[in-house]
Amino acid sequence: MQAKSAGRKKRNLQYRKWVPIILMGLPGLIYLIINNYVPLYGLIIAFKNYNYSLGITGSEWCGFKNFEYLFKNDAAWIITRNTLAYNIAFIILKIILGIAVAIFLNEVRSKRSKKFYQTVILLPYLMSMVVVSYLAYAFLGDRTGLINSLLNALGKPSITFYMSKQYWPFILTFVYLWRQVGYGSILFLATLVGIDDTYYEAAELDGASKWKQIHYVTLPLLKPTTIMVATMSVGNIFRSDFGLFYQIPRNQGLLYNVTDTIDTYVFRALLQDGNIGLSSAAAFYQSIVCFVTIIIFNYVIRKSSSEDALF
Amino acid sequence: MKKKWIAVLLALGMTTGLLAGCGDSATDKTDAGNQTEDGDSAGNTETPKDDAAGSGDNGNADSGEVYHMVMEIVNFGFDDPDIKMVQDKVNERTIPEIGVEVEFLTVPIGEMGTKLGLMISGGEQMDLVCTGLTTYPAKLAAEGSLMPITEYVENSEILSKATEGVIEACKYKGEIYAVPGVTAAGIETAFYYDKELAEQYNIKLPDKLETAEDWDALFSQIKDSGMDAYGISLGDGCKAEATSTGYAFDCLGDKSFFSYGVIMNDDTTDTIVNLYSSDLYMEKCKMHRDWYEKGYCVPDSISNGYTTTDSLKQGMVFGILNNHGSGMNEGNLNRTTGKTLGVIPTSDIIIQSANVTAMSYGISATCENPEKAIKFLELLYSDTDFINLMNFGIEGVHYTTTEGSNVIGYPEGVDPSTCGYGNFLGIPCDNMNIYVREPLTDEFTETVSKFAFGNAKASKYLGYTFDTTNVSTEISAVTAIINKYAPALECGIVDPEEMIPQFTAELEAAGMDKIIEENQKQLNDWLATQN
Repeated sequence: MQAKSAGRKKRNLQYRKWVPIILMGLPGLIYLIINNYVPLYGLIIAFKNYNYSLGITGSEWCGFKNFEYLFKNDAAWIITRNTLAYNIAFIILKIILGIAVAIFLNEVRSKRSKKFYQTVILLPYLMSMVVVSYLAYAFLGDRTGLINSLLNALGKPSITFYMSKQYWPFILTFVYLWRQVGYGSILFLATLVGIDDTYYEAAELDGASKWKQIHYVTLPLLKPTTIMVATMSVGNIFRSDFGLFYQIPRNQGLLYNVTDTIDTYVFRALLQDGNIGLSSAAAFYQSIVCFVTIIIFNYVIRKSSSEDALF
Repeated sequence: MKKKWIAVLLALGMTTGLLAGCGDSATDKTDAGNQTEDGDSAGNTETPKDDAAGSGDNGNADSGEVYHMVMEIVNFGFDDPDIKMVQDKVNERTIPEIGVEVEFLTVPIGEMGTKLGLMISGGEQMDLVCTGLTTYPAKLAAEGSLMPITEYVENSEILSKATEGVIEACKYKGEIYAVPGVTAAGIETAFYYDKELAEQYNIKLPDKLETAEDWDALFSQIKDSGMDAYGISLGDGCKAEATSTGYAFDCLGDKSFFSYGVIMNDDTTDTIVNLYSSDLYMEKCKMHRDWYEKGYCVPDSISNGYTTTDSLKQGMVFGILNNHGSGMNEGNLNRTTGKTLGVIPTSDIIIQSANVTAMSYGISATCENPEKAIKFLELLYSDTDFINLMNFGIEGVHYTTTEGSNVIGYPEGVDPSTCGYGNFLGIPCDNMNIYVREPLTDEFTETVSKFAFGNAKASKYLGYTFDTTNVSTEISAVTAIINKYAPALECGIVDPEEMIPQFTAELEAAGMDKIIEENQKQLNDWLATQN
């Protein structure tokens, strides 16, 4: 009896301890549920022949018909290939360059110049893709572009960038990295700042050069962050940066083979149709594939180094 | 222990979330229920009263409560500053006369295709909606956004008279879903040119531009004259602007991509063909290729981000191609480009379903009081003062009249760019008797009837709509291919001999034949019911 009441008291005590934390977490949780879980119900639109006046529940079921158009022709293969290949390249390059930039920034000693470089390198990220598209056009335009003006001045013929697809994988990768690297390096920089100086002091005492310090101290300590960033990016491997792929090539038909991704293809199909069922189907397909990739990637990480796995 | 608490916490969070979710949807449902119920009951009680009012032949009999009606006004993305002022002026008339308090809801043209559906599913009020421009009545009717209004239109003497003949184009599965926005719906394609440039450089202009030689004769003059402008801009690859094929065929509904197949005008049978594999298309693409190679057209028009109208405004080109009719004419383009334009027709005047519905208005499926909306439309199709008020604003503020003329000018100190009203894309109305803006002349109002039903040649297929349900997958796929090839071909950037075979092969693989077959079957059924 006594033991029981003591136990209850103890539990009560613990309960009290948790109350403030529960209250603190509640708004976030409620937001998460309303914003992320309740709308999941809308996924059924992907399997419906949506009719505005009948609403979601009233519309007819149509099975997998909405998914058919994605796999109707070569387009499915081309857009899936583009989405995947660009994203793999982006993830790898973004991580490598992000780490490099973070290390460089960390080595800048003067506080003022460190702030300056950080801001400058972050600036492109804050620019709208539409603005970036005009910046790119100022360089690549046929008649007025900077590159073609230079070529003409040197007596060489112009390059019609917006009609030649061979240049676009490089242009898109460059623009993406120019825009994202600054932002991508922030997380790494935060980890670097948190690394204890004593490691480096010890390394210096042992006579390690700067390069060796980076190789044997910095990089291993960055590993968990890198894996986390990679896992998060891999989770979005089937989603493309819409602004990048739609605005920068200026929606040119001749470039679709190398610039079209799932998002731009679906966007254009819907621009014409306005069919909510089709867009939900595409989003559903993307989500499922993303979910599967993240589970597989996490599984692989857990097998190789379990303490770094996300879940 | 810790884990358990986290679990409890999560469970707690989830249940509250669920409750919140349930609460939300529950209230939503009852709201919606109430709304529709209200709508029904209002409709039911209103009907006999309105009928009485209708038979009384006078709106004044409407002593019932005032209905607040929302009307969609499509514009280019910036709202007229004086729109409220005109709205108040409109309400001064409509509240006592027909018991309608109208609210103008401006929608940018880029959003109009999706806005209606979102508003309906979001439970927002919208009554009179634009069913033309980037969309069309049959599509909106198929997705359930519109209300059938056959009864109202047929019972309304004003509306059925004003839309005689052309109303066929607004039908979907036998029901009327919209009223044509312009009563003189005939249209031709035309070359609009800058008159000042033509005079300055002594350009000899032909009466009609039809053959490749006609065009070449004009453009070579421009090139040799030393003018600092190209002959023409073929646009940004947006079909409607780039095509110079004119109205040599009936597009059977898809006016922007021609993905349903087309019927050539000179064809005596009713055979639907693929435009992109036709001789006509090859010929036109070759002509444009010729212009591109000779430097007659803006070479980077496809990627420079300027529409054809923009290029004309900036003086980059001598002229552009566009539609010409009672709704879209040099009056509109003068206003947007700030130039004085001349017009050379490049096709015959013809009435097709696609032109009739281009400015049409319908009543949204959620409208609670369609009778009142119809009454508002009746005013727009019968009362000249009201039509002018809606189209041009308030006399003395937005326009001035001259005695004995239908031509209006701007008041002193006001020009197209500072005028507080008029930057929108058409209001549905009987446009045969309304004012016209300078520099259009009275001559224009006298000749506008040549665009009207009965005077202009009407397409044999007026009123036929293609039900795309069975081939919607193919249409999406085919449109994607058209997007890929057509803009570059029509701007003359690529060699048609090389590109068109590749293009048509991909179209066939995507199911173009299946679409045409289905369309042909439906058309034959429709033709059988017509005789």
